[in-house]
Amino acid sequence: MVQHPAIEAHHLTKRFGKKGHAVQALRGVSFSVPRESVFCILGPNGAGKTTLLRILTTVTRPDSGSALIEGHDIQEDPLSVRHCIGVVSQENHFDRYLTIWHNLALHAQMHGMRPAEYEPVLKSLLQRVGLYHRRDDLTEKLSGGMQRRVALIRALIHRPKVLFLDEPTTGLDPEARREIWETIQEIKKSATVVLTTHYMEEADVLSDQIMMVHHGQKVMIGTPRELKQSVLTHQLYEVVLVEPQAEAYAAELVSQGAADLQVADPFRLRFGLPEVDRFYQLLEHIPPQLLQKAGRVEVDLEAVFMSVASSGRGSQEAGGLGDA
Amino acid sequence: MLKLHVRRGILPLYLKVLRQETQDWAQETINTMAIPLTFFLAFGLGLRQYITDVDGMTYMTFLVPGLISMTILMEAYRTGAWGMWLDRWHQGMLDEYRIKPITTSDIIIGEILGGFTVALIKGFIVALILLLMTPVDFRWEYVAMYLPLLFAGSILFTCVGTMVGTYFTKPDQIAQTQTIFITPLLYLGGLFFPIHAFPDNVVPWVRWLPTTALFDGGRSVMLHGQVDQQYVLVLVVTAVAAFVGATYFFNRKLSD
Repeated sequence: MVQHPAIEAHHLTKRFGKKGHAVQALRGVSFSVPRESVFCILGPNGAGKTTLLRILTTVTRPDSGSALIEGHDIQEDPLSVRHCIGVVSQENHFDRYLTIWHNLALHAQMHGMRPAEYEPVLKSLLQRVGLYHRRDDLTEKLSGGMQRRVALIRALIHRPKVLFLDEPTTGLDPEARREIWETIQEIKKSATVVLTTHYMEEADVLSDQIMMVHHGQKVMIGTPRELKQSVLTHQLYEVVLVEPQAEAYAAELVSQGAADLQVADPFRLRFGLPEVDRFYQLLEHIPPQLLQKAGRVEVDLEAVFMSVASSGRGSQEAGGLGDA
Repeated sequence: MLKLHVRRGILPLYLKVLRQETQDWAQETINTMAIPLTFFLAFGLGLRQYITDVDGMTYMTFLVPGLISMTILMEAYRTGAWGMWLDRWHQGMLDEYRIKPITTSDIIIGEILGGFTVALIKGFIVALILLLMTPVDFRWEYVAMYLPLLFAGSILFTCVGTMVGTYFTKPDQIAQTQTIFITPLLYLGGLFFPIHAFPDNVVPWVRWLPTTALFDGGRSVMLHGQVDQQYVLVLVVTAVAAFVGATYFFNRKLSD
């Protein structure tokens, strides 16, 4: 039997605002997500990640295009979509006049669960994250990390087939972030996870597939490894200066053959070169007293993203995993 | 078509409103009692030797039915407006509800029914206390006749409140709406003086106000068992219109 993807999106577009002041948030984004995988939507603030998530979770209607979640059309049959999804939004939205337990119970009831069904699930999930003893506290008494865990429990109560996480670790300390990562890896065994993030490391560690979006467009899609390889026609080098003069030397290095050059900060330049000999020739154009550090660097997703963003390239697939 | 889900939509949200309001019931009761009790003490007791007879009754007796109606009206408006504003703009809970398998109609109906019930409960508490403090010889069958008017008034002002809370993004806008629309309606509706005290050409207009139907109409029913058909019509029509309007408005706003 052919197994359908968990998500199939076709040419989704969305524009906000009226004529003259309109913002094109999404420009024909298409992709598919296999079941029981972690799919990451990566992009800078304002790239369209949250709009895409709001469309897939049926909160916002697209202007055009379509999407199926577990075979249910987001526009034709939104209630069936909502039955099989769980969502953790960017902010911790809780009813601050209700206790943790009542907040969670309310959402279980909205999924049609009876107390006999949801009470043991809630108890077990709260115990797992060490918050069962605080179930009668108001949510505002919890720290940001604890609230995030409660939000995650709320999204998992009804055992969704697809879990959407909108920047799940933003604002959390490293320990809380690691805990969320471990939970996501655990969830992946029984559900599909779609997460948005602007943390490259997070996308690298968690994802089976990454879709990079920029200015409302899909600019790249593939596994983390495929994405890194796709921009690697060159080795990546970095030069760190002792004075903030990176901009001043950028044009010079490009004229000498440096590819995909990025001024990471006023002290730091990153660029690609086909061979190491060229690197040493290039260094001769920078006064030695200005050099703090120079050498080859490992390619990470940040480099990929910067390369894609700076080149302004359109939609492409790194490993043949793109449009369904 | 209106799709409703009572068990997983309307009922949980209805119970949520009740739970929010009873979280600190002692404080809520004090808040609810403050205004009607102040009016009762200031006007009913303070002016009782100056205003000895209003339409053949003591001023205290004249005042009590209106204060009960006023409590319900204000609580209905407050619960509707602030509840919706908190959920939509302050706590972001509406976004959470909208990713559940329920409709926007379920949400608004649950909220309206919750606000309506809270208003009625608070009105009954105030009624109990005021009636204990007032030597009004009321009859239970008249009180039973008074209840449908309160139901309609409570629905009307909860719906008006939810529309205000859905539309306005800032808390001071809700307070301004109360000052500009609700307060004049309170004072024009025959709460503190009989409406025949208005000039003759004003009285027919005042009789079409829903607050007049609640205060003046409610007083006639509660004290004399007399039902004014025009008041019933005003309350039923405005309550139904407000309910339909609030549901439509909410659905439309959330689909923007």
